[in-house]
Amino acid sequence: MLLIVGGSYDAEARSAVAHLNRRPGPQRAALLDAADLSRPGWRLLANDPHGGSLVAEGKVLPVSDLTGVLVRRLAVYPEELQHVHADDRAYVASEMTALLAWWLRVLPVPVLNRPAGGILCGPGRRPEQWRVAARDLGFPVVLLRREATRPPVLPAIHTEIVAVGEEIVGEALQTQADCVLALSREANVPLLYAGFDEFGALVMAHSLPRLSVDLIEAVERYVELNRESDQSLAEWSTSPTTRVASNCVPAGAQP
Amino acid sequence: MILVWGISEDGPVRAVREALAREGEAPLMLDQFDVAQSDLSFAETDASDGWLTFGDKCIELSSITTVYPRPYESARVLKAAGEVDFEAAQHAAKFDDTLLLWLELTPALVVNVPSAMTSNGSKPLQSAMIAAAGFDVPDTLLTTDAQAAAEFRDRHGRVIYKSIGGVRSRVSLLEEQALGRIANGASPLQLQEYIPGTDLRVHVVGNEVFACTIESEAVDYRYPSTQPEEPRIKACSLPAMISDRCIALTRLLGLSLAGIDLRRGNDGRWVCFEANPSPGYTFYEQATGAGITAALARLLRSPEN
Repeated sequence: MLLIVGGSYDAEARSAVAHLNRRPGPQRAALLDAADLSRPGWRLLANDPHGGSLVAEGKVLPVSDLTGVLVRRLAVYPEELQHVHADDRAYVASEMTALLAWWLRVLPVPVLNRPAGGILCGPGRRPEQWRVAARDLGFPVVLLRREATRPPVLPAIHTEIVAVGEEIVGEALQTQADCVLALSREANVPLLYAGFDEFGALVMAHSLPRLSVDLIEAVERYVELNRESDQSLAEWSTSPTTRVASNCVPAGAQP
Repeated sequence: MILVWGISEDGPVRAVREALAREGEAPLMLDQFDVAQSDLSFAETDASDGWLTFGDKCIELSSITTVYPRPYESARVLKAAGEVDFEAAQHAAKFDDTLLLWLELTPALVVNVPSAMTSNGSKPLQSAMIAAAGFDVPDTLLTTDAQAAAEFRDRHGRVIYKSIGGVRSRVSLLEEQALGRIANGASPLQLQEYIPGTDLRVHVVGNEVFACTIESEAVDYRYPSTQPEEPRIKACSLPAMISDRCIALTRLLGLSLAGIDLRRGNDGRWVCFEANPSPGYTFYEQATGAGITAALARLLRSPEN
């Protein structure tokens, strides 16, 4: 079953679930919204990401029923929690976000995309960081100057495409497809939207594309293709890319 | 040139500025109380190409070699200072946002980069990374289910609960009352096996390690309510393997500075609870006299190492 982590307000997510469940056979998709995170039935042991249970659409499900997850939110927001006392909403939203930030990161099924950089649908890069990454990879980008007092004015988006694994959803030039695929590989995220200006330069990238029928079907294919490939913890076995100090003082206790 | 961003009277900020001054280094202090007079501009494709202004200073970004950011939310700082003007708050938010972006893009050494600090926003996520660095972590249940919580407590005997996210919360033993809250509850809860033993706080600065023990009768020594619960902090040394593991964890998290909470269990286990990416280390340094500030000043002065 494909789990879509979204919100009850997310019409595209609801349509996607309905589209997948229209097919004959067992339930193929379910929507997990913020209210589900308040319902009894969540049982997750930190040392057993394969096991336990979750709640989606008000029903308790074994984690082992999941084949993949599509993440459609940056965080859980206090405003979604009308069933929670107003004084507690900000705290509960933060707790729910933290739970998902862990669970979606360690879940041993394909997740598009795993939480990172402080948001649920990683990698948490800003548009400026995507443009810098694309430039470093040799692709044309819109060059902007960032100023605290004036927001940057972005050119109009002319072409929009989405990478889902190695598949491209949308019509674009080959160089644009190459750009979004290179960015998704470089950031190690399977789902990435990219918008280009009329000259083919990258304007914007992010991980929350509009959820069309073509896209949800591409997500389904990706999940099917990658069922056996558990990337949940792979990145922690490699060195972080962030620059950290490496001074040469010998390691050891300094009482 | 060293840039320090925060509130000049904040303990670690003040300590490191004083340590640098003793070495003849005058860092740039970007005080958040002056955010209304601060501005920043840079080219996305070259974060060294730009300038930072605050007060009567205008600094070329290319001259900044290291940054020690320890900011609060500037709009809240302004509020604390009695500034309630909407435009000032908006400017503060935009300035914070721009500076936080610059910290991600600059080639300068940032101690610590904001995006590397986000693991602390989810304790179980950070715990998974702690386990990947080789430490034991407590058996942990995340649940909205009173029956699951009761079973977990029965399995471990004593169980604590604490926040899942980055909001600071008091660690408490799970009693019947809290179990009742889960049954009625709106929020998922994190439960952990209680591990009796000795608390240690370890600060890692680059490759330097400073450890101390904390003795207290409280479940959470940060919140003493009686004299025996008052923390008694003493410097200590660590086995080399644990010290190296602390450095490895700090690096895995993408940090250059971390405050790591360990417990040496009565059963001999070395358990790690969390790593704070912006530690208020002066609380421990005042008790032990350990040279954490001096190490941080060295790190900031020698980014090439």
